[in-house]
Amino acid sequence: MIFIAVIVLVIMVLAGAPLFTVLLAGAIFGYLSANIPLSNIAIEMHSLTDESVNMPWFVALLLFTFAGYLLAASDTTQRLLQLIRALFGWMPGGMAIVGFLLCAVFTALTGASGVTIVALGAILLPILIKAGYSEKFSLGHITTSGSLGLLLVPSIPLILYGIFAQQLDVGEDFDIKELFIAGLAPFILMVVALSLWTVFRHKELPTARFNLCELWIAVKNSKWELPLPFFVLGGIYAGFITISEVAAITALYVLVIEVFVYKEVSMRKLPSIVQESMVMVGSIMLILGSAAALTNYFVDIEVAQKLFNFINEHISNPLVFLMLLNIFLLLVGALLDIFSAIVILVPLLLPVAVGYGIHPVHLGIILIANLQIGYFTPPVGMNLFIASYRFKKSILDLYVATIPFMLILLAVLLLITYVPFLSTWYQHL
Amino acid sequence: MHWIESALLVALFLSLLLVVVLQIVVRNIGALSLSLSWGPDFTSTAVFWIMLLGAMIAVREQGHIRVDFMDRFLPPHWSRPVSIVANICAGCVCLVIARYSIEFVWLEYTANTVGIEGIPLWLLVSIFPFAFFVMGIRFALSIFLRTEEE
Repeated sequence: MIFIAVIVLVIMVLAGAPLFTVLLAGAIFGYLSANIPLSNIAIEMHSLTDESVNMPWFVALLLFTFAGYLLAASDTTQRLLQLIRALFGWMPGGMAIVGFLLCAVFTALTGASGVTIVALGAILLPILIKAGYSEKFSLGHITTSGSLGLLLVPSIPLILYGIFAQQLDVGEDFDIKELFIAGLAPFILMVVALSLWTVFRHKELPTARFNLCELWIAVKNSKWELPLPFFVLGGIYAGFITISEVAAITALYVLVIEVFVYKEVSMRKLPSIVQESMVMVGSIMLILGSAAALTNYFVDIEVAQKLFNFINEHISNPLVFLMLLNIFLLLVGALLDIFSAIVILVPLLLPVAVGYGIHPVHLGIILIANLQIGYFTPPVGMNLFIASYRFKKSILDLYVATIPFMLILLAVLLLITYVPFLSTWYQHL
Repeated sequence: MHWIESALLVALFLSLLLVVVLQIVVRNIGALSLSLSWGPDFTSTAVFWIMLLGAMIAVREQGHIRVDFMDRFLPPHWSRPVSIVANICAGCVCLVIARYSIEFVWLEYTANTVGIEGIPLWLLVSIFPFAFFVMGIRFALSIFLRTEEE
């Protein structure tokens, strides 16, 4: 029975069946072998969306994603580019740093990193080359930036990790908002490390002069979008409205400014944007629900406990465990997309990691940071292929171009992994 | 048929947005001592429906997330037989889930659970077997659809 199940599941994965069907097939086999009625799968999936703890976060997920898609459909990127250029363009390495920040904001909002390379990369690449950066550097820059920002508010993978980790109830309680605070320092560290390296390599590049007038125009142009970060951050941390209400106000505000103030998105185009964003979140939520049904079986047969006992027999040192975890996660990140990786790995890894005394918030940051780098890890990182396709460059060119960026981020990853304080400092306040 | 799905999805999303905003407004007009008692029930039902409708449309548009690293290695003439295997498996899974989720709906029916403001819950969750049935059929049909394209 188990043998057949494993074969069927492997075939489904390799043939490219949608992930939710693979997870559900696993659940069907599992429930059958454990004599749990199959109708429980539907019950599990319904209760996931019905639970009052998760509810506000699901609503927030829907509304934030819609806001992100709407912003992506308007000229916000152009205005943001103008603004960040006016702010940082005068610095040495300024344009490259602008690129890092812009991609990060965009990725945090849309969650899907492929979108960043396809939509933003096309604008950024010629700008970088014109500013004097080599083509190799620019390609590496954009491929790397395509997943930068996954640790930034309101990153969808981070929210998903939070929802799923809460669901597991491993004994270490935390609020999903804590993940956003925890991701901040690691994110800044990544941007600073990449920027320092850029500046160091391009000392000779001419820089634009700081121009107050240009800055003023840029601020005036994007005056309606500027309050947004304050809305989102203020709303989340002020505490008098819930996360779903913050998301609703954000979505409504973006809707009003893009459709009625800037008039860049017509009323006629609105339904297709709603549909596109809802299909994306809808299918992610279905994966989450399917994974929850499967996890129920894992919990039933105590997989995580057995896994922990097995690993613990061979590795007693948490530091060694963390190192192996990083290598494993980088591999997974290169093979799977981030949502699949989260729903498959979290139920297995979280209880094991907690067994080694790693805080769930810290694990979440390590996990997402690894998956972020996995996106452009040779030979199969997804963003390498997207960039190769988008910019018509051979995949080997992209390997060579991204490797220095990858080494820098790997160094930061080591810091994030072995200095838990970077992610959990707020708990010591 | 397709436009009904899409229209329902868009309408649900917009009403979800509206209800959440309305909840903030109503709660802050304390003098009226109003509250949307059905608000939370409505939002959780809307999320459940958006999840399933979105998934149905994603099958239609072949937009579901899948593990696709084999695509990068397989020769092109392999892609069709492989995708037929994937779609048959996916279709079978959806139909099995559809069949057994009817028991879940029946359970809510006999338990007489109330959903939103007197609407019985079994009616609200009956979208579940329906959605999985449609997805199962769509996976099965997609085998033939591709042949016509070629």
